[in-house]
Amino acid sequence: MIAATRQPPLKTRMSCALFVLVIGSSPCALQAQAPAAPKTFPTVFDLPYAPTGSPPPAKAPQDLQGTWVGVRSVTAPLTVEGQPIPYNATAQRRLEQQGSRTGAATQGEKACAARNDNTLAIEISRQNDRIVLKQQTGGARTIWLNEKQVDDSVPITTGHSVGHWEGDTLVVKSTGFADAGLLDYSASPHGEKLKTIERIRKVTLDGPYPDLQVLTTFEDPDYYTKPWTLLRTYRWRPDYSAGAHGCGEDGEGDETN
Amino acid sequence: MYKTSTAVAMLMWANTLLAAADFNGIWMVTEYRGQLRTVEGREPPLLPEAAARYAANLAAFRKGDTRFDLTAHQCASPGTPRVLFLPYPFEIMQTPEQVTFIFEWNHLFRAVPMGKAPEISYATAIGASKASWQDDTLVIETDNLSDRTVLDAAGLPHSEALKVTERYRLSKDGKRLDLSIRFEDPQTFSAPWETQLQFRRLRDFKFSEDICLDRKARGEPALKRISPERRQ
Repeated sequence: MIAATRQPPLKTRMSCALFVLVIGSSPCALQAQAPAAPKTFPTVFDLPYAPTGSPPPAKAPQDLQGTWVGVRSVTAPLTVEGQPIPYNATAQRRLEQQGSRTGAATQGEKACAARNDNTLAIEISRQNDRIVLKQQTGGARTIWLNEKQVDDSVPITTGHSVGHWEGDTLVVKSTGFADAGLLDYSASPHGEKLKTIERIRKVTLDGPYPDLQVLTTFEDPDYYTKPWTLLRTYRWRPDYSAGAHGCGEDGEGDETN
Repeated sequence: MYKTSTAVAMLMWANTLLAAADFNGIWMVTEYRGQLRTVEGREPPLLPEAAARYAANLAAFRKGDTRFDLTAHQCASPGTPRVLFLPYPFEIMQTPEQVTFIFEWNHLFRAVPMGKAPEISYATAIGASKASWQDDTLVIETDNLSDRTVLDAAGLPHSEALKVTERYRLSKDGKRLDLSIRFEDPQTFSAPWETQLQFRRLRDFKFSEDICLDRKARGEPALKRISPERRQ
């Protein structure tokens, strides 16, 4: 009755791995001004805009609520400036030890099961004191707002996040990451010293609806020679659901983990 | 004709708003002993093959061997409806279009649209759910449930033919949430059966950040220990 070895269909498993690719980066100190995002960028996988007549996102810049889907799949991310990720020697050794891209991809999935680093859907909702990102990979991530301090004493894969608004941009600082995590599909490593800053805002490109742009700056002196920033863009897709995917649901035993 | 249909639609919408009780908030199961029972207090009506499997699981559970339980063993999703009565709180976020459950355990969530279930072509632990209001009762129907999960900590099995119907009702003082769950699975049970659970509202409560695999890496259990003899 209960087939212990049963897995979701191969297509699903492949999509789990395939969609967990993106992240972006570029050098800039964490407290420094985020780099200006390019107006155009190379596209590997172009997600269409929502069908005409779809309900649009809220007009208020600080209302990000709704469902967004990553635009691109990138197996070897570059920084937002188009430069290679500035790995140091330790990171290089670890990447070599991790071996094949398949292995890296599966570990990347594990990291991304809790973070928002893929091209699956995310659904954003706002509560009084926090913003919740429901991710199609199965994890709900909380960004606490206007909290002076979050208890980040217990390191976790997702880190502990606090956000505030700078104009129309939600700035999210995260600390307290568990060691030995991976930042992306190419298995960029990190340790407990990792700090990230995400700058999230709605932008108008050339489409019928605004897009969501996320600039994430990573700083971890144990693995990178300097901070670096990655660009991810999400398309407004109210016709998608973040809640129906089984990706990563088997925990430690998941093929895609 | 147009005015009549518009008026009817507006009345239906207003009725929906009036019917919707406010479940927003953080909840936690009040009592659960690790084994689901019917409302009459009996074991679920298992078919012979499922009963044998359950007996084996239960024997292992009583010895502290949880290898049959992928949640306790490797942090797999407990699935619907078990995730509701883990010994961890969850939050309900309610909008006219959707009811969302955010679970403290392992950052899981479950998004349930009002009206129509999402179309998925394969079974998952959480399944495909749709919600509706019947007066002040929130009714959630779920199918497409993976048979890799068990229904309780003691290892109650099910097949992918399982259909779960949850009926949530708020107490008058708003402090309790009563849930009845109906299980229909002709490959596992000889008849549909129901169980009842209650949740208490947690006020001024803040979720801790929880990643099951992180805890496991620190040598902590994937789940708080539950035994049939111990109340939570």
